[in-house]
Amino acid sequence: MEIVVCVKQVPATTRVQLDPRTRTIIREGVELMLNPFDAYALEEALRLREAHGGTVSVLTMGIPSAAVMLREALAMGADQAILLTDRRFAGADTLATATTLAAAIRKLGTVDLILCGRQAIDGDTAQVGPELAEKLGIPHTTAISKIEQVSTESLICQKMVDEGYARLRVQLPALLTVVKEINTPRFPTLAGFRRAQKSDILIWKVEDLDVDPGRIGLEGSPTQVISTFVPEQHKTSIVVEGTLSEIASQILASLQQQTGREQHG
Amino acid sequence: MAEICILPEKCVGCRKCLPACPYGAISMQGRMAVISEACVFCGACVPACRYEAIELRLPQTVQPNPQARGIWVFAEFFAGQFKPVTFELLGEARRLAASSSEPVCAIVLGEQAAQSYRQLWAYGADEVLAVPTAKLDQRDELLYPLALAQLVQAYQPSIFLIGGTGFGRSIAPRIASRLETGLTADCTRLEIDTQSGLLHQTRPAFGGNLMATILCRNRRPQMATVRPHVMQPLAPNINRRGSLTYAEVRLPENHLIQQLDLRLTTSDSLSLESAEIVIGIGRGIGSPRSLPLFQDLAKALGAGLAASRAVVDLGWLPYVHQVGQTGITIAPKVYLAFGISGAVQHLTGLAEGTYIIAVNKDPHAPIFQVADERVVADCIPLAEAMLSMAKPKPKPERPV
Repeated sequence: MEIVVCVKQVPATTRVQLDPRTRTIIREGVELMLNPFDAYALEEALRLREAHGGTVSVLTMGIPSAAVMLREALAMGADQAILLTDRRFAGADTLATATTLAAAIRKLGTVDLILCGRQAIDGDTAQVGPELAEKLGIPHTTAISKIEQVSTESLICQKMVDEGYARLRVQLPALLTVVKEINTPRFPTLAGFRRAQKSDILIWKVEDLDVDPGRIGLEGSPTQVISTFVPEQHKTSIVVEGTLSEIASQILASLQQQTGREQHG
Repeated sequence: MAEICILPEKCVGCRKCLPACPYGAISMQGRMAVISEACVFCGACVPACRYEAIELRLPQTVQPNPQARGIWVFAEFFAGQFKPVTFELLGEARRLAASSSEPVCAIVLGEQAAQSYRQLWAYGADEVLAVPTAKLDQRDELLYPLALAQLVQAYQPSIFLIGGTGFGRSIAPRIASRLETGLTADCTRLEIDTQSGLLHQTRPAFGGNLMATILCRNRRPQMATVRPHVMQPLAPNINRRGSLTYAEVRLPENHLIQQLDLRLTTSDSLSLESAEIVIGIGRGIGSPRSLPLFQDLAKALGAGLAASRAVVDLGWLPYVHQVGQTGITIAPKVYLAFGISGAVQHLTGLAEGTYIIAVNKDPHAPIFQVADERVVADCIPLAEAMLSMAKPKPKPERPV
C-alpha cells in the first residue's frame, strides 16, 4: 500500500502572546513542531504499512528549515520525505497549497491512500485535505477516528460526525483526515534518528512540478488577508459570591439571560 | 510572483516593523531590517514602517465575474430538520442583503428537504433553489459538492455561505477547490464594503488573539463557513413568501463512499458543536465518580458536556468530548467550566465571544483571566446545588 502523509510545521504555541502595554505580538523563542494532528496521520500510516506492507512518504510545503520536522518523521519510520520549498510557493492560501501538494503527489506516481491531520493548529481551517482530494479527483472524508479494515480496493473506517459516529466504506485511492482518537503516535527512536540522518530529503521546487505558476503561492491564492487587528477586550468580569444556593441560582439566571431561554418549571 | 523588500536607503533601523510581523519573519542585520523566508506577504509590516521603507509588490490580478449575483446559503438538512445554523446564516444573509440589494437564496438538496422550503422563506430567503432528488436525501461528502458546484456554475452567486458543522466543513473546501475560488473558514463577522461591494470576512487568527480580515477579490463566489451560534437568526415569519425554483444536476452513482451505519451519541446526547450551553469539566472535579453528577446537570440544563484534555487522557470521558487544540472547537453561547484550569490549549477550542462562567477552587486558575463570571468554589457541592434547582425539562425523543 502506497501511502502519502501530508504534514505541516507549526508554531508550538498557537495563541500568540500580546504585550499588554503596546498590544504587539511577543515572538521570542517560538519553537516549531510537527502539527499534532499530522502526527496521528503519520502514526496511522506506519501502522497500515506494518500490517499490509508498502511505503510511507511524508510530504510538506514550507521553508527550508521544515527539513528538521521531516527528519523527525523519518526517525519515526517514514520511508521517504519530500520538501516543497521555493519562494514562489510562499503566501499560499489553502487552495494554492492544495494545488501545490496535488502536483507533488501526481509526481510521486501511484498512491493508494493520502492521510492528513484534520486541521493544522495554526490556521485551523481544516480545508487543505478536502481541497487536495478534489484536485486529485479522489474521494475524501474527514475526522476519521478508526480504520477498521483495509483491502486493496477499499477500506472501512469510522468517522466523527456532529451527531455521533458513522461507519463508511471508502473506495481507494482516497484521502482521509484523522483526529486524535485514532491512535497514540510513537516516539522516534535513537536508531530511527541515526537512519534519518543518513536518508536524503527530496527537495522539489516549482520547476520540479507540473504546475501552473499562476496557481501557486500568493498569486494563485484567491483569498488575501487585508488586515489583522487585536480584538477589543471589553470584558468586565463579575465575581459571583454568596452561599452555595445563592451562587447556584445566580449561575442559572445567567444561563437563561445569555441564551434567552425561558424560565424552567 | 509577489515580492517584498526593504529599501536600504529608507530603513533607519528603528525596529518598529519587528513586532508588527505576525510570522516573526523580520530580524535586524546590523542597522537594517531583513525579511526571511518565513514571510507570507501579508503586508502587516508595511503600515508599521514610518519611513515607507518596506515595499510590497503584489501580482497582477484578473477581474471577477461581473455577472455574479445573489447571496447563497446552504441549507443543511438532517433527520427531518434543517440545522439551526441554516437559519442563522439566512439571518446574516438578510443583513448583508440590506447593504448590497442582492437576493438571498437558500439551497436545498434532497427530496425530503425540498418539502420544507416554506421554512426557509420564513427565516429570510427570497428564493429557494431546490434539487428534489432522493439521491441527495442523505448527506454525502462526494455528491453534495458535485451538486452544489454545478448549481454555482449555472446560477453564479456572488456569495456562498455554508454552516460550519462537521459536514459543512468537509464539503465547503471541496466545492471551493472544484470552483477554484477562495474560502474563509469560521468567520465571526461578515460585512459588504459599500464602495467595492466585496465581502469582508473576519475570522480569528493565531489562536484567537488576533483577528484577520480576508477578501476574495477576483473569484466568485466569495465563500465562507460560519460556526453555529455565531450569527443571529431572524424571528421566523410564516407569512413571508419567496420564490421556489427546482433545478436538476447531473450526478454519478456514488460507489466511492458508502455510509454503512450511523450511531447517534446517546446519554449527554446534545451535539457539542451545536449546543447553546456547554458544561466543561476538568481534572478539578476530583474523580470520575463525580461524572454522573455533571452528566445529569448537563441533561437538566439541556447542555452539551465537554472535557479538558487531562480528563480524556485519564480515560474519564471519550475523545468526542475533548475541546481544545487537539480536540474540537465549540461555539456555545455559554461555557460553564467546572474545575478547568484554563490552559491555552483548551481555551483555543472555544469560539470568540463565548460567555464563560468559571468555577474553580483555585482563585489563581488561569481560566479566571478570560472568564465573564468568576466563582471561587468547590465544584461538586455547587453542581449538586444547581442540579437540585434546575428541573429537568421533558425532552422529546431524538428523531433518527
